[in-house]
Amino acid sequence: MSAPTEAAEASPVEEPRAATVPRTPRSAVAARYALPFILVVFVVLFSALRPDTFATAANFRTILTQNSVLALLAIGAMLPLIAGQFDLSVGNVLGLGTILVTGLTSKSGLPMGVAVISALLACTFVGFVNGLLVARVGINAFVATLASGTLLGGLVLWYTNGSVIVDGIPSSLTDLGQSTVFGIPLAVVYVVVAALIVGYVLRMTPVGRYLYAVGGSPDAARLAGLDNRRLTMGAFVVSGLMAGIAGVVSAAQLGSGNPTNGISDLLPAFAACFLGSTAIRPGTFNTTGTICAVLTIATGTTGLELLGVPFYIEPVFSGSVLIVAAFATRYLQKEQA
Amino acid sequence: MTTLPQAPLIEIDGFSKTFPAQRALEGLSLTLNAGEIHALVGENGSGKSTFIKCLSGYQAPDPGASLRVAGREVSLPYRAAQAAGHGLVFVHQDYGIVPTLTVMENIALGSGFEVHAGRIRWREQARVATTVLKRLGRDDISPQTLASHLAPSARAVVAIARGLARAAEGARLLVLDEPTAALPDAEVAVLFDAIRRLAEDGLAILFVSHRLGEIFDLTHKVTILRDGKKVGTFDTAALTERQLVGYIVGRDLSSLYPHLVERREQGRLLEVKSLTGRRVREVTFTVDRGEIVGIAGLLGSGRSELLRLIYGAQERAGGSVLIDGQPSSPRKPADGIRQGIAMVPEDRLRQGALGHLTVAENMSMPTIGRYWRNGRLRRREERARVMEMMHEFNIQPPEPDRLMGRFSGGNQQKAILAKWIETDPKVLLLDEPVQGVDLGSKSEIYTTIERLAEGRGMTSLIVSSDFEDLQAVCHRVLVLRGGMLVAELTGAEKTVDRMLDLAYIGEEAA
Repeated sequence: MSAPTEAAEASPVEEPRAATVPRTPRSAVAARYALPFILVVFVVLFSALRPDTFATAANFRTILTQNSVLALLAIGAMLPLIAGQFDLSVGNVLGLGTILVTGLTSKSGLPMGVAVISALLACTFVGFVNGLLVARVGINAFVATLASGTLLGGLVLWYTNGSVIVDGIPSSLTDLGQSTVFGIPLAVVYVVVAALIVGYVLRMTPVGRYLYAVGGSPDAARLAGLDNRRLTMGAFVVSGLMAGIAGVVSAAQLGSGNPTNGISDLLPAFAACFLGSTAIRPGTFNTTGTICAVLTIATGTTGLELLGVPFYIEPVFSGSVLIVAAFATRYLQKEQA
Repeated sequence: MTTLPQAPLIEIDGFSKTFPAQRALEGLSLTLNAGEIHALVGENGSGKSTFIKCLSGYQAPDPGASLRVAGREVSLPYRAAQAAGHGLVFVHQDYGIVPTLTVMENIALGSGFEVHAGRIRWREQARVATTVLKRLGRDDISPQTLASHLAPSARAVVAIARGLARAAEGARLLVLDEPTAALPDAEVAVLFDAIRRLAEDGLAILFVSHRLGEIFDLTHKVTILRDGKKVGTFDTAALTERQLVGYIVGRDLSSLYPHLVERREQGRLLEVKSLTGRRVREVTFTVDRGEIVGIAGLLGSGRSELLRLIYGAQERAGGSVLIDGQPSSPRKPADGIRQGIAMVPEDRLRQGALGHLTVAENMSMPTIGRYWRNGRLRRREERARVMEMMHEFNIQPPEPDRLMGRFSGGNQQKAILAKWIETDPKVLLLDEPVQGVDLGSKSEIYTTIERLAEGRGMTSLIVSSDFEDLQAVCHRVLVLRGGMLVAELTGAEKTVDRMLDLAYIGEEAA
């Protein structure tokens, strides 16, 4: 920057002038960080109230481990949501992953690696078919994935004859879910890696930008030159793959294959996505928010249970948090308009 | 105008509205007589919408405002649901008609259903609908028709009818907020007939529009707002168009339109041969580099389809297109963009703007690849470039992180235009580029097109319902009728009257 003439020309990389940089309203900032703030409050509060049981490394490890499957599932389910679609089959795909990986190792005696890859391929394929039905054939995503999910549930029951697969599951598989690296549970590592990759794609690549565009206004996105079909397909494929990973991790953690596994995780995963969309970038599904949502609900539930609140607190608590968060975001956003 | 002896029907006094950041409206006073059609004009951000929101009860005006309807003081503020009770009826730009319901159901949504013992009395309901439609001179609209089957102007009429039905104790003031924004030219007259009929019936009409022609056509008086303040109220007939524009924009626009530069010969760019789609049939024409060509036609003439066929947004049934001598047959918009075509679509809300994303994300959508290097998006660079574009195109407010949907129509349109100019297109297709856009932005948009035609040799095809615009900004105008190209007008032939004749009748008017 020695020559002054050059400096005058080289404006593109310059930061915009301070005078034109808009100030962010305080309420908007509050909306953005309300959820992480609540998470911190929970941790501090319960640690103070139950220092012996809550504020222990073991307890935190348990919270993280127990919710890693849900987090993986939610991260996957978030992608079709961003693209303006629904994947209601993720719970059943998770179940499929669990059953295939346990069944193939114990019933068919396949090596663990082969079983894992086959299970993941099968789940990805389900995502691909969902994508075809929605993006190519043009079936409403709600209907298409409700159908494929239900169908998968049936196939799983047929394959297992309705009974839990417990015998002959190799320790190499259970190690995938139960061992630790440097004291960190492997399952947590998976979540961190998945969140980083998905977060990177969403925030740092054009593909991420395109997905949000397609979800917001499909017509405008198409006319802007985006390939809506491929983006939608991609979202479903990754959603299937992530549900498969969640299924394998679940099987490894539980050491068994329950044919009803995953079905009860569907709605909590969606709840996490929606709760997450009230944070960080309010009104937008985002990875950090989703992870935050899973942790907030888990921490709150665990804390309340340790305080002696009965077991049915979890759904009551999750539901309330979702409504309160949605309400607060709505209120704060209105205030800024 | 006839002299009206009695006191004004509507007396609005001292309406102000202050938001935390700015004073959106300052002491607006306005009186309307019975039978008067009164235009309210102003650029986006002039306080027009704020005033209407205050009057309709969606926002409370600042203390000190007063409103008298037919001599009776109305206590302020009131809720939106109470406005009709005071005799104030509002019809908004999008009409709020539910397409899946019938005409009478839509009307009943305002006034409530005629119920007997919990059961809707459909026959009575139909009678109510017919009565109110008759008042608008449109008892030809059957109450049982599905709203989706109605012509756009009929939908507008139904929206007015619903408002009238809601005002149980008689409507006094009808406020029409840009009722023609979504109407094709041919249908505007139909709506105006209904409006005039109501005025003769003794209502006062407040008519908001960006279209100057309509104001001179329809209204008796005009009130101009600028920067939240009233510039003045005038007899419409006493103003010239030039004067009115001057009042609206607050500076002496030597002309609404850029000065059309004599075109230099720059060679042929676009050749369209026998292009055929669903409506468009065998359309053939050529366009030179740097030429601005208008496409005139009525709704359904195939004018929008012609653009979509060139762009790749719609499948071609036949024909071919050459750009720079190279065959161009895009199968999807992405192909068209790659071949140097860009299109600003007609439906800004659904097809042009990505309302959920920020304006920066909108503006860099087709060019985002430029900021993707070494595995990540260079956001800072992207944002800096967007800021430059926002300054260049005068997009207000210059906040790149603001959601697109929260900008005014004119600024959204400028952002969409900027987004496409950034791809450096050879051919820019514009479908109703100034619809619902304020005068200042409109002039800026046309100036930009002119400048790029001259400077970069960019070719533009402009579809517009406003033939006056086409006459002023285009070197040449093609007239489409029933999917066929019926004429090419240049020079002295390029007049609004010729365009109208050809578009309606399709041949020489004798």
